[in-house]
Amino acid sequence: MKILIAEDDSGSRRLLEATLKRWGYEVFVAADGEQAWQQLMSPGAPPLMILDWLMPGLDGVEVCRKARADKRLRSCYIILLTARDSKEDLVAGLEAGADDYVTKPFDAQELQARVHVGSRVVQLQSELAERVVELEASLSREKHLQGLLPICCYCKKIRDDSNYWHQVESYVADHAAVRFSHSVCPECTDKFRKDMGLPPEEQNAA
Amino acid sequence: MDRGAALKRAGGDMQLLRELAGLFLQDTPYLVTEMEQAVASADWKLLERTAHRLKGAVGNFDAKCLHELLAPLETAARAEESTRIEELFPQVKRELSKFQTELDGLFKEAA
Repeated sequence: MKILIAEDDSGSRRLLEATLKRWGYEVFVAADGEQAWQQLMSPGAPPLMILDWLMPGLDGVEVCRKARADKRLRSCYIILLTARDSKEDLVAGLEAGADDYVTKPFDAQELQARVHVGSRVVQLQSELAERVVELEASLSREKHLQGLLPICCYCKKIRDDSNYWHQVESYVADHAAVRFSHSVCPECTDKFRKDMGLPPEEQNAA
Repeated sequence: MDRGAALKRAGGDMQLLRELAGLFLQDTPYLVTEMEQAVASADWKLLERTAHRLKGAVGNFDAKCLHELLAPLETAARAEESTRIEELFPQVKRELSKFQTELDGLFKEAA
């Protein structure tokens, strides 16, 4: 899985990169918040990231806030990595939108476990998103007769979304899972017989 | 510096540890200079920042001794306790110098 790291100290950056690679992640590296943001804005951006809090320019918390405000990045998993360890800092970090918070110097086992949690969440969200796409496609394929239908008062033709008028029969057939079986109603039967000069149909004996 | 602990942190990768040593030797001297300037001009905010950054950098080598000096120096700078700073700063300088020498030795070792 792809993961982005943003860390301004060269040694810390290199150590984090090497450690994550050792754990099997495909690591994208940024030396500050601005570089991190550029990478996040590019196609194929990592869904998972570890951001150092204190960085010159755009800091980790600001990148976090920007990511949460962005439609595309809203669901990415963000871990803040920082030496700031007061309760106030933890709350501030999480309130800014981080999913987790790890203090420096990091404990390798702990970081690995937390990154693994992140990758599970990302995987789950990706599966859910795929399912939604499938459902939406299937929904649009299915036929639906619903909503407000413009209908002609006289001939009863129905107007579709493209402004074409259709006979009721063809409109309903296109928008509902139905088939028609054709017959003639009593009123039309009488009218037909009258037009043809025929006597009205005999009523069946009760 | 406890070399065993530093190597463990680098996942047992001696080449990586050497690379990290090189990066430290290359990228942190300016922090030491800044720290000296901060103390000389009583710029406690700058001292706090540089102590914090150095603390992070030495943490990559599991250098507990230095960490245990830089952390209180950072705190003292934040609280603007000049007496405490005057106490700690010479110790920090000494330890940093020793640390740099050790890293230099490590970095120059044949692969």
